[in-house]
Amino acid sequence: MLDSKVSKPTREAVRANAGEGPLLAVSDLRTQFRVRKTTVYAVEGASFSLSVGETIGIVGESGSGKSVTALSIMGMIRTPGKIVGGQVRFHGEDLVRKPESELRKIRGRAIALVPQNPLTSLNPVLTVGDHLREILWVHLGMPRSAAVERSIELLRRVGLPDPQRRMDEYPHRMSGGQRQRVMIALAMACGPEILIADEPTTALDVTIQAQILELMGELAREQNLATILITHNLGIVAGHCARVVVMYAGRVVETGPVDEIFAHPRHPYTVGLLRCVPRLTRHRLSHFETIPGSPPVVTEPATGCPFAPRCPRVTDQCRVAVPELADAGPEHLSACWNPVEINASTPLPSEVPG
Amino acid sequence: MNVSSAPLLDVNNLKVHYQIRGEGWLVRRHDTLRAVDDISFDLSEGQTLGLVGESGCGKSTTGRTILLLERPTSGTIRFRGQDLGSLSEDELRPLRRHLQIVFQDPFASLNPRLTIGQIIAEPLSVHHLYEGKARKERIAELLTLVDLNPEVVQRYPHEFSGGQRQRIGIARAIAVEPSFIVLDEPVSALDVSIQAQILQLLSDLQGRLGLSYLFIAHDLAVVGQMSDRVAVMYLGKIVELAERDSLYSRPHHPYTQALFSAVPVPDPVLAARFQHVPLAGEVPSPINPPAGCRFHPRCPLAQAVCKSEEPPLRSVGSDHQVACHFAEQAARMFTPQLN
Repeated sequence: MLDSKVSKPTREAVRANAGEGPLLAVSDLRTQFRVRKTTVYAVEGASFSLSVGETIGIVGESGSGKSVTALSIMGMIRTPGKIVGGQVRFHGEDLVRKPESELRKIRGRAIALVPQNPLTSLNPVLTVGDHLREILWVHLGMPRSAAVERSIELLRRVGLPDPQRRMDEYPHRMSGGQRQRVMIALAMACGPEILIADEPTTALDVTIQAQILELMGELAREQNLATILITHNLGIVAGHCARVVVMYAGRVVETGPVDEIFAHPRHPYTVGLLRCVPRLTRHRLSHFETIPGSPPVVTEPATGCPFAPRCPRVTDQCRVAVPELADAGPEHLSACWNPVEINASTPLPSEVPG
Repeated sequence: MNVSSAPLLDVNNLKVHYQIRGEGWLVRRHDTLRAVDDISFDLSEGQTLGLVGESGCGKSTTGRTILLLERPTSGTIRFRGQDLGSLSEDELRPLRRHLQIVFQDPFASLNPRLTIGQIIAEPLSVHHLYEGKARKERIAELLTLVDLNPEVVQRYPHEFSGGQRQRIGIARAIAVEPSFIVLDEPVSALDVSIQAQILQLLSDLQGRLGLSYLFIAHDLAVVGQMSDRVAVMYLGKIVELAERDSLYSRPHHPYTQALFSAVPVPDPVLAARFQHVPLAGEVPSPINPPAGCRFHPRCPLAQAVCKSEEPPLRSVGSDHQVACHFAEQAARMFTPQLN
């Protein structure tokens, strides 16, 4: 396990410190859940940073710790969960050690969340306008008339037709895409610096997914917003993020610029994720690229690479020692004892003609 | 089309309309929701027909109606030449065995109070198959077929992951040796890594058991990996129906093209080069669908004629039909990014 004091700073941290420092720096974050006598090691030493105006993707399967990482940044881990180590530095201040009263001023205001399921995140007995007015009042103390005006403006900006009428609408009357637009309006309401979108489009049609991702990209450019896009689909990251953080079993296993990671993935897990992205193929497939098995629930401190049981490149060393993130290319870190060679081709799924 | 051999499934002029309460509180008015509005297609033995479209386009209603889980308003559904609509419930029961379904949500579609063994045994008892001792063996065999350990029979659905539950749902569907299965968004709720596993399983089972699939999804990438032919639906209508490779090399309908553009390009270099403008707006209400071509309010090529005249489904190639006034023009303007 990494000790935060002796772990060497990541390349991103070094690069960012040369300038004005990253907006958000997560270092050696460890979050655990204790249920009866079992401890689930949900996040095990995650480190990454985010600069002003930058969009990064956090990618991994269900249970990889990507959502818990997001909740840890937001200070939204509740009992039986606990952040047991590491730092979340926002403007240089460690959020992990801040009292709840101060976190409340940051959460939803400076750092906002767009959740996966908008229907369970909206209060069914409040109208869209109620939601927006509440957040504007709580965070900015905005009086009613000003809040109404600002709310309508926000709804218009996220592309909801007829925003005035939408103010009185209840969430269940709207489509999934419209509800997600409302969630984005709520997230944008107080002019955040960081937007964390946790699988914002997983429940949506591909057409609506394209619209929502486009909208988030526009808003990020317009407001110079830093965005963390959490997804299980590496395909989405390609067109929307500058850097990617691949997580597995609570650890960052590979990170780097999107172009570099897609051209030269070094970690076998990243290669696996890349191969199973649904693609528009020329012909029907008979063979699908899969990552066999399923991700583990980590209930014991790791003694080897957590991906070893599913890894096609596993060696004896992988089973006895945990690999640390190490240089794997330009601005590229990978945690693997037997990384994929740089020039190895990553063949696409095989096809059967006609 | 297939004149030589009768198709396994032949759907003609199928309509599914619902009467719903409309506006007005004193005099109750009724509106008609046209979920499926006059569609025809067929499916041959051992083949997969992909059915693709956005939420609310009627694709799931189509699937459910073929299984007579919904009653058609008009039109015929022929299974091995027999008109399902003309049969009584008693005559239908033995046929139902051949028509099965796998649902989208692996969490909602398995009864949480039944063990895995009981869940898979249910269709067997309904159809009086594998009675007595043979049943236990059949269940073990089915679990092996879907790559689950046969020892899980005593366990409950909550103990399983989404992908494993979908395998259980598939085992239940194939238990009664069907020839046709409706796959209603079978992988939409799963991680991409697990999606590929389930698609591989469905593809293998199709070969081994000679199954025919109606594969319903909203994503052309997923549909294309599994289908021999593809039908694109919009607001209750089929707007394009074609042999798979023909559709993927040359989509003719602007809506089909928009669905192609919506698929994320899994390559940062290509994604930066091809910045597609996403299709604007959402599917309008099927209660009062737009006149003329139903897609015209969202269509980049719409002309005056599109607002007044509904385009018929017409042939633009061998086994390639499209319902668009400007199909040829649209086809010249767009080539999907395949890889």
